[in-house]
Amino acid sequence: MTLQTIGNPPSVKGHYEYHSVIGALAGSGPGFSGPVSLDFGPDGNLYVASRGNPNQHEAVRVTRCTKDGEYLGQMPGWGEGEGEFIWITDIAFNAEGKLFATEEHTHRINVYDPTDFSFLYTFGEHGSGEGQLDRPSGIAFDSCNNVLVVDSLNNRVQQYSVDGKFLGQWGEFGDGEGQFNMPWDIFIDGDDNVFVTDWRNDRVQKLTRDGQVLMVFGGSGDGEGQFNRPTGIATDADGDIYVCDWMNDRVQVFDAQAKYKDTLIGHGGVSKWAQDYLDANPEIEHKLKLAEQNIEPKRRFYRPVSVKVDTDNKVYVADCYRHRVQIYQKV
Amino acid sequence: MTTETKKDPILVVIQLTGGNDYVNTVVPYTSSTYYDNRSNLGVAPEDVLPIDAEFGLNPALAPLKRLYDDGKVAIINGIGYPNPNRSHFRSMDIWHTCEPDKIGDEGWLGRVIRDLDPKHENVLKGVNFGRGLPRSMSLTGVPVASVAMLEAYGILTGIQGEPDRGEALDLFAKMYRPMIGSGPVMEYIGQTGLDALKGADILKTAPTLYNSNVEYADSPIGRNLQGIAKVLLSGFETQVFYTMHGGYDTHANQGPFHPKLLGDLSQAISDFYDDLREHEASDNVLMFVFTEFGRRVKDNGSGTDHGAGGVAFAVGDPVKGGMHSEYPSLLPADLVEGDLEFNIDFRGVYGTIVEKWLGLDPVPVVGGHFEQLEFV
Amino acid sequence: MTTIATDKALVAHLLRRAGFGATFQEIDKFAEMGYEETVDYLLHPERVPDIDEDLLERYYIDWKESRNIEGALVETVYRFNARAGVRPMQEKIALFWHHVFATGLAKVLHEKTLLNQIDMFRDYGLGSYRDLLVHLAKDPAMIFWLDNNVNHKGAINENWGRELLELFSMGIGMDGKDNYTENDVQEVARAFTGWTMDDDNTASIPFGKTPWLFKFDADDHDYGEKTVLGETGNFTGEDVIDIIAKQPSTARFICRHLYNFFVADEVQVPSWRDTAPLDPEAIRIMEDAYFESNYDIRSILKVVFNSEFFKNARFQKVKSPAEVVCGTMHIVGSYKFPDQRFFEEALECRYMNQDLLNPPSVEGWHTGKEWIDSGSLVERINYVADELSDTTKPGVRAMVDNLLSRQSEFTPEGLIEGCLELLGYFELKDKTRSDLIELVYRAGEIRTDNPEDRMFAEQLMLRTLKMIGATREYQFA
Repeated sequence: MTLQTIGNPPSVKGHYEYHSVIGALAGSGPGFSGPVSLDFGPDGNLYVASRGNPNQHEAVRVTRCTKDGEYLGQMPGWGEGEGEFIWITDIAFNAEGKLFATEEHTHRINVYDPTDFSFLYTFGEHGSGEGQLDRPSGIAFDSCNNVLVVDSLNNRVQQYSVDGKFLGQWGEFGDGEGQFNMPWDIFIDGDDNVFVTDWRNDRVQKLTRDGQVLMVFGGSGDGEGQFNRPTGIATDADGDIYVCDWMNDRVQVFDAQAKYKDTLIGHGGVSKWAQDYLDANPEIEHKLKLAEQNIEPKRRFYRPVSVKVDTDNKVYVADCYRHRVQIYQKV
Repeated sequence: MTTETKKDPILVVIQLTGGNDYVNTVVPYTSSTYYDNRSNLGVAPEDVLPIDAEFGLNPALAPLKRLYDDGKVAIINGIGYPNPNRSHFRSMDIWHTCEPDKIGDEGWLGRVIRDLDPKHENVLKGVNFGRGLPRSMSLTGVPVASVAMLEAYGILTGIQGEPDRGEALDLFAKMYRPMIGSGPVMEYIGQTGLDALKGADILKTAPTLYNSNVEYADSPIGRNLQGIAKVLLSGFETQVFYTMHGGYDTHANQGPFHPKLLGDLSQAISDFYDDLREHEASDNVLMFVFTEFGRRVKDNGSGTDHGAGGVAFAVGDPVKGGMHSEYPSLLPADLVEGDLEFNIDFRGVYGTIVEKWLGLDPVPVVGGHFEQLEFV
Repeated sequence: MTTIATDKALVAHLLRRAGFGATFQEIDKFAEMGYEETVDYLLHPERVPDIDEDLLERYYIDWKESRNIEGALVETVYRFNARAGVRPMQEKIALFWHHVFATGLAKVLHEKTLLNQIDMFRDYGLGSYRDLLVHLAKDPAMIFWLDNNVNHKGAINENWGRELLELFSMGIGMDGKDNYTENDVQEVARAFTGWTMDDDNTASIPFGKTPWLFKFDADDHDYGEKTVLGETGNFTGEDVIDIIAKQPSTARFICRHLYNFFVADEVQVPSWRDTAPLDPEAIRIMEDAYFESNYDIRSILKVVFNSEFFKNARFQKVKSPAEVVCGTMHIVGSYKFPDQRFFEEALECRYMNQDLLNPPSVEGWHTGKEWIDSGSLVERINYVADELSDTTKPGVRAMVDNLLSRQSEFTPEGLIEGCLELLGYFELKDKTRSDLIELVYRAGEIRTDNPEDRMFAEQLMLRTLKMIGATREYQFA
């Protein structure tokens, strides 16, 4: 089996088919460098945030491409100044189509106009008081266009108006209901149900936007329905819940009642961008093929961090250590 | 330009880190093979700055082109070494140590500095601008000052403001004075500390001695070359300078990146030259610009990958300008694993500089006899 | 000195050698535990809970996979620093073997594979030296570094065979005599034919890097008869390692390395054939422990740390850059939690001439006074002086608060003595001490009983810490 020949293998339980892959490692231009977050823009395109690496500043960026993997542009911006970022963590579009990005080095939320990536405004500062942040992580919006931010080291979720005014907060450190241990991501569905990956508690909490707990599921382990540090989370139109089970290198799918449904393990082949590279470097392709035993692991997810489902029921997963986005089609 | 006063020859080495893309630096603008291979990244014929009927410089090199037209730039084509290594690390190591077959730990410029100053009389014979010492200058027993930023160079730089800083340095000098019976290692460290203090004391006068009408364009390489100018013009008898310009590893998004790098580099070289010229100090300064390898002939869509044969430049009054050595063939049949074949060994080019410019025996410096060129 | 102070000074000494130094709180804790108990504690890192790997991955997403040498270097220093307070010996032994089995990215070019080698040192570095050599011979980074992947049956490449004998086990000679012949080198190389690796791809594009793995190619292995160091048989690589491990020269060579790293600076390795050990009696004791314990490194080190020659060797070693940087980080309490700024700081080792994972050659770094040249000395002094006087660092804050709350009034001598004690019972030569006293003395009265005076005393203490960090004595451990 070579890297190129791959059909549409199914997920573990067969509810999903592998669809395609976008990306390859690149410090700039077509490619990603440790992608940690993705979202769909108002233009219908895919936006991917790369965490980069510490001596390649331009690699920290947000990339825009079509859902078919055509490269359209990027927003670099490494730095500590206004609108700049060093440790980008999550990106999300609000209803007005503005691009919000959490930055956990300077503990801020930056807001951009995605059409030209111009910087609009920023809010947040370091601390543990009301409205202050200590390593903001996931970000999402409720139906009133309010902003909910996972304030990871303060073990809480904070609510802001769209222009950054503090509205409220909930959560505290602990492992009881409504308590958190370094939460990572947040997702809000159409009914304002809030899903938070409670990272170090290896579980997911479903809450109202005021922080009332509706459901808790998960637990530590690598069995069905268990997690090893869950990261990205999203739901689809059917109410199915997708959780990036980070250190188990898989994405688990649950139904709306949190009953285990399926597991995606990753089937990525060579993307168009990767093929462009291999065409120019045939000896690398040759070496990849020679190392047969290394091919299967290279298809699999390696620390998936972010997941989103589009209106066509396609599931997009940011496959962080393999620098790509793998796409599945719900059957 | 000739001069009657005998000045010591000075060498300024500029390392382009990451592998500068040869064929987009000196562009074979009449070659269809070039444009076939560079379908995404080719420099259009109407954009190049022609130097002859076949080759032209990247438009971002306009400041260098001015010097070229004045006969101050030697383009050294197809430079490399046998069995090219495509790793940055290893290849740069080979360029630094002249040891393609084993891991060497002596730098060629370390040997040059040793031979220029065999008695170690001048702690500033070699000065590097940048953090840490490049292996090219490293040789046990040869002191080299590494200056990240001239204005901030020194011992205990964290202490600011007088009288605190003065007091601290006085105390430092006292504490590092010879201490009877403390043993050879303590004595050695003491001497080294006092040497460092002496070097710093001398270097810190450079910015105050320097005065110039040339305004350098602001860029990392421009700041480093201006720092070199300050030291060079201060009369400390430094003969070997070194600095690096990074970012040439253009695997991706080469379109905008590479011209920016070349623009910054050539502007900085041109500013530096003008600065020396203004101070009538350009006649004994040779600049040498090199990179660890050229890049693959075929682009990868958005950038280029590691290749082999590359280009170096010698710049300055002592140079015989023009094209030196052959530009390697781009024809597919002539490529070696997709890369240009080198036709002049870099050790011969080093040898040319060592023998014809610095007046030293090149054999122990570059580790053998290699074909030399006529660019000095 | 009181007995308690002596105990504390000894514990501080032990922690500098078996770890990356200790904070004053740790010194108190270990002194209370007792010296020999501390030795046992340190030599059994597996009994102490490990650091949180998930935090490293969460924040240093890119470093964990180490796509470049800087990332790998930072990953290494991160673990040194993170384990300095919990499992220091595990890191120190890894650093030791990295010095001895020096493998470099200059050629290996696969960061993850080399980091796996360092992890192998963490896992097996305190165990049987014989087993460690087997792991080393199967380490893909080492195989590539010394060309054993091109050591073929019928066409040997003797690079690994030679360095195994010369640099990794027996040494070229002992007591003025050669330890092995050229024929031994070739026969050893034959025994390792077919010990190769699955893959030598170094490209990180497009998928990131996949670590190389050891592979035994039976078809390429020379099963014929060999004569190694006087013994004859159809030896495999493991058989050869058995023969090597039992040589007296191997005991001598490894013990001298341990002595040089943990006890006191020796002459450089190339002189060992003709130069007797600095302390022959110490080496003899260690050699005995080597054989009695069946080559167990932990057992040898236990003997060393509990010996008089070790206890008497305070400040007999020039700190390596890794010790300077990690020791300083540990004392000032930087980076208890992952932080972006860690990256720049980890590179300090490189600026001080120890480019971890990239030793100058297979012979490793020259140690002792050769760490010091004018460039590296300036880097050491400036780095340490700035860190030790930065009160935003929790460890510095704690030292200041601890000392200044002891008394309402200090003599210059008392202030300096307190600083030295907090830094780990450092000692200054009389002349240095009197130079320093003069500076402090000129500042006038040192009181802490009102806020203004306390502020002044704090500034003075910080200057004192800074100047201690700049002394010659502070270059030693």
